[in-house]
Amino acid sequence: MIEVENITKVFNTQSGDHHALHEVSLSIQDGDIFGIIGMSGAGKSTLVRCLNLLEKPSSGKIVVDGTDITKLKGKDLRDYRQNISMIFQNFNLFSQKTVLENVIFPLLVAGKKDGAKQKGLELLDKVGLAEKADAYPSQLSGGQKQRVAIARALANDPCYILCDEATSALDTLTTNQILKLLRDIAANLGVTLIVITHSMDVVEKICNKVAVLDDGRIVESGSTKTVFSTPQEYITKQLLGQVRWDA
Amino acid sequence: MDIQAFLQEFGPLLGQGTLQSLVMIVIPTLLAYVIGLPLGVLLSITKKGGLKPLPVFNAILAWVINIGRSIPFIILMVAIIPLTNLIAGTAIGTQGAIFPLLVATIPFVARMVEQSIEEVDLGMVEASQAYGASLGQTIWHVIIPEALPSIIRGLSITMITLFGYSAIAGAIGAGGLGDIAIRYGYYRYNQSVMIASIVLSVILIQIIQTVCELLVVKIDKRNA
Ligand SMILES: Nc1ncnc2c1ncn2[C@@H]1O[C@H](COP(=O)(O)OP(=O)(O)O)[C@@H](O)[C@H]1O
Ligand SMILES: [Mg+2]
Repeated sequence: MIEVENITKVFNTQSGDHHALHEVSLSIQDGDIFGIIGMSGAGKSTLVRCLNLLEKPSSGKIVVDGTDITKLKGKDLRDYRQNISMIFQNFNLFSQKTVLENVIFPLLVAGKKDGAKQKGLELLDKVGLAEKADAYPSQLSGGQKQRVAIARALANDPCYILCDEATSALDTLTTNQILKLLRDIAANLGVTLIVITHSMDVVEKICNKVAVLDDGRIVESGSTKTVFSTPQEYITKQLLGQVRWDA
Repeated sequence: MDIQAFLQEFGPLLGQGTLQSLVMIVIPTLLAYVIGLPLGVLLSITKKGGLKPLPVFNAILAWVINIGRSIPFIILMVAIIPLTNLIAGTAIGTQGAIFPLLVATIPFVARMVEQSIEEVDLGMVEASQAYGASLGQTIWHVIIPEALPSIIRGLSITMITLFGYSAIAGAIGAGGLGDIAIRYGYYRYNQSVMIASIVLSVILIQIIQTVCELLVVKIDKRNA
């Protein structure tokens, strides 16, 4: 379970302080596929990057399974990150490593060399890319790259996976395949997914809960059904396409 | 003068000169990378916004490296003669040229490596961190391998620059093809020797460049 309590993130930029997140609070239960939706620049990436401490919140707490992770450092932080994996919009595969080497990277940095190769091959099999083990990322399509990234994200058997616009660089068909894969992984492996997206479609398809982020604030949240059937906020209606596009 | 007579008279001289040039390129290059590569990595990661920001350390390091870069080689070489004597036992000949060449090349290599590292996609560095890699693991397993093709391109530029420096050193007696060109072409008006040393220089540089380029093509998997 992840409890985000009043986190604020301020970036000190040349043009002054920029509040990317204002007192954001969230509660993510185990087994959730939790959607965080908002316009570009709303602070979605910043929020999700706070969850694995790629960004340090300026204030507030993030309690994961009972521990405030904002205090973690060094080895403790690295151990925590093995439990909360991440996939990215641009896949971020290592271009000079083979597909298999990419997948077992999290195992190697965790010092789990024994059986890593076997595990990597199993994971590739799970995402349907066993035959690409020795290929390089440049030889794969976008959808295949994201599959490899998903296999890599699963390497350390994480409880959580953060997905930052994981399908935004993909076409509709490929998006659906990746969404199905993520949904199955969540169901079969019991992984909790935090899904960042600007697409209502993605939320509607796989998320059981959703929070709407606008200008660094959560303006609305709840079960996807409720939020989608009775949106309260203008921004939610806008995201849902209920506001005339030229209004 | 026919070719055979020419080779008989000047062949050994030109052969030795080529060998000396090669020594003055390869040895300082190897040593310069041993020192310059870590410096380049440090320069890049300690920057503001880098993996391990250390602004004061970074500013000092950058300042020292810039000083090294801004002293013209011939002045540097003369200025450090006492140090060269101490370290190499002599400040003349090919042996005496290696240390000043090394000193001049280290800051150059550091900057080249820094630039190669800056080209690495930050997304990969971020992924590495997100999967729980330590700073050292990220540098060793991600940054260096991802920067390697670019570092090797830099290697060929470094060697060509060193050849230029070695010719300057040659002008004051360090041996090598530059030395020969000056002594025979300039002081004795021996056109043939001058031309031969130019041809050998061009061949040498072409070989270095081609080998590096082939190596890059072989190791770079981005267009596999
Ligand atoms: N490292 C940073 N430094 C300064 N401003 C940043 C930084 N990262 C993000 N921001 C700003 O914070 C806001 C939210 O960004 P982001 O979280 O990337 O939004 P989203 O992912 O929802 O598009 C934007 O205005 C962005 O410019
Ligand atoms: Mg974003």
